[in-house]
Amino acid sequence: MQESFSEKVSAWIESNCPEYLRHNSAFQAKPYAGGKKYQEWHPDQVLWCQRVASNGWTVPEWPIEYGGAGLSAKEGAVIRQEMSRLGAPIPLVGMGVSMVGPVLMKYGTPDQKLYHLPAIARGEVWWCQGYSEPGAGSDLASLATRAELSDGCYEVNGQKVWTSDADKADWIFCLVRTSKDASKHQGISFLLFDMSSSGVTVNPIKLISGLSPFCEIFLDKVKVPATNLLGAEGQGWEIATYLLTHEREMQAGFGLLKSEVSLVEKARASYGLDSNGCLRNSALRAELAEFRVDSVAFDIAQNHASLEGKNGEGMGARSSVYKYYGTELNMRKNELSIAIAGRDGLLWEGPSDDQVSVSRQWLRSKGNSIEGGTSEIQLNIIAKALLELPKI
Amino acid sequence: MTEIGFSVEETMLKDSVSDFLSSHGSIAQLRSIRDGRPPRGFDNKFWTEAASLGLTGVAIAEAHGGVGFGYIGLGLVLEEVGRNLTVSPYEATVLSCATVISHFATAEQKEELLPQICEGGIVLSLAVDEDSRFDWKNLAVHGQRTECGWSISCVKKNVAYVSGADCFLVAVKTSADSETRDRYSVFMISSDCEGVSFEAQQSIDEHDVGTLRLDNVRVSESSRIGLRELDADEFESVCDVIAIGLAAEMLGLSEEAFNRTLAYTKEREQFGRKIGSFQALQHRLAILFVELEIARKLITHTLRKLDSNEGDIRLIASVCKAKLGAVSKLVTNEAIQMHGGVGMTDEYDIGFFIKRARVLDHLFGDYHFHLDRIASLDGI
Repeated sequence: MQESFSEKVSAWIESNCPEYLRHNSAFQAKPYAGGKKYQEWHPDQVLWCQRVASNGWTVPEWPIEYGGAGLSAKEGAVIRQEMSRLGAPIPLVGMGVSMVGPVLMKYGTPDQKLYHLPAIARGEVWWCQGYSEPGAGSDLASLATRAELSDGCYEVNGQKVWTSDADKADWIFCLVRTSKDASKHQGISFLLFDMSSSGVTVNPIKLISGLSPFCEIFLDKVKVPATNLLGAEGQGWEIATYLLTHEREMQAGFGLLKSEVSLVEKARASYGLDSNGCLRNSALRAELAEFRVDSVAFDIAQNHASLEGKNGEGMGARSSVYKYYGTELNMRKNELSIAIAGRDGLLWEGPSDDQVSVSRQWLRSKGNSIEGGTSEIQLNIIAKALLELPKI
Repeated sequence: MTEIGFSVEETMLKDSVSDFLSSHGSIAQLRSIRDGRPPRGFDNKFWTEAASLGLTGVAIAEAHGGVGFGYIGLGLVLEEVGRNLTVSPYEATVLSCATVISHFATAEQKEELLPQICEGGIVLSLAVDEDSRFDWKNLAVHGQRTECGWSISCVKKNVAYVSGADCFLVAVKTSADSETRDRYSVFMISSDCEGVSFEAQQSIDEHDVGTLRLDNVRVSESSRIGLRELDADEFESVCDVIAIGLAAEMLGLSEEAFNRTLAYTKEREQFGRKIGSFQALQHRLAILFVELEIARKLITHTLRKLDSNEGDIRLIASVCKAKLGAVSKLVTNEAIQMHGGVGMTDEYDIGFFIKRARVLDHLFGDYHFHLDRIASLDGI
């Protein structure tokens, strides 16, 4: 039974995936996120998504009435595996399918689900996340963007920062403060609105590494229908917490094993070997071996943990272990890259056009231990939730 | 048995071993061996009981009187040995020697030796080092053929249970050729054989150890394990299996040191609060937890890989030994530090963990040895 389903899937992929997309690393690097505003996708990406969506396979485990195919997790895995095996790119990525979809299904009203989910499944909406503010980073719960209800409409005033792709997104899911009287956490609500609403201004943020997808958003008397509230007023923190753990599991994928083999190759090419076959710098040789130990160990551990997570209900607080270690490891990898590249690695542009330069990757990697919950916050979570250490 | 997690049988094994060792083979026993100095270096009653419970035969095939639990079983027992700081010839006999025998002995030799190990009737020790460090590639060439077999003269160092072993499996380099590669032989030599003498030393982990001297010791060819020379790769592969087993012991040891330290920080009060409420300690404890989580999964994965007998274990063996060397060093140091003054007392048990951890690190290649090897395996 299982075999014939995967045969069916692979046959369908063979006849429906545009040839140009297949085994094409450019599309693996820039996967399709859909949307109405952003128009710079390759037409084949758009076509591939449409075809997959018509089968309900952009979100195979979602119910059919919401644009999915009502399949089991196993069957969804088969679809993804076959696509990967046949070199077909992921048809649709983005916060819509990975974040908004799950929370809508968990907390949304029937009307909200019917309005948003099928459109997400078809890749028609690019969603962004409005959480952090200049005054609310690690202490997200202290957020101050205000949403005041009057005449069936919220008026939103405030500012969001670090929102990825806000300049390309069609809609935003936003944490706002709906009550000043309630406690810090209990006054937070989860609001969805259209980025083309009047009063929304978006500016990109330039990083130490150059351009980035991050933006700041200014919200000036933005009017949002009350029906766009997800869950109840004051339920925003609960919904966000659910999503944050989910995000952390995805981010732990930093520090892929394959890269260190190329670190060794780069070192060999750059330094050469002595008559004993050893790298002509024993200190670097030792550091590369130390890194190798930790990256092999992490790769094995992470594979096991994510399998365990799939058997259960996700990793919960344990995902902090992997986010913390994975990001620290990726930063070490970048430090070694810069060490090996010498002065050439400290130029803004690398030798080939389509690769992000070593310098930019290294600078960008400094954000890994800060974004998605800082390393210090991850350690706090481990200490509190896993070690049950006492509070002050 | 699934890849992730443990089967019901494995969990039962771990629980029963844990019960036995925590009551009979733990720190109280370590202290009594240290202070009582039994002549053989271990408690014979404990050894016999351990064997009767199946501990010595855990990885030995049922056909030879063992329990047939494979490396995952051996690893689970070694973890508990580490957790309890059990002082016994377990590692020497069951991890090192039984592995050498299982890998290379003739059917006849296996028939003779493995059941004895399962019954707890024999204590064996593998003698390799000729210097302060494990350096198997650079051993001197020893062993001369005679009409009736072999004559061996050499000095072996860091020999475990030199005072109490019934027999030594002495690993010597028997040929070195610039053309062909070096070759090794393992000779089984009884402790009461003529020409055998030893000098015991006191190691900080209270495990009996010392120097073994072989002075024109004459043995027959039948005492050579496998009745043949082993090439360098074969010898190295058995060292790798032993290294993985030691890493499993280091994992159990590190987890216990961590658990005791965590518990201490939840009890100890200063400045009107539990010291575990201070963020600096919380972060350091969280980091130890992260390292142990990763180390645990690495070890479980590797033990199962050994059982599946698939693929090259060289890299993963060195990764395990190096990683656990680093983790155990970090954990045991932090354990003393976070205990504060009492961590420095002999009265408290926490100081025993760092002592055994460093000895384990130096068995079959320490942290630096394995880093160097990993670099070589990676072509640098």
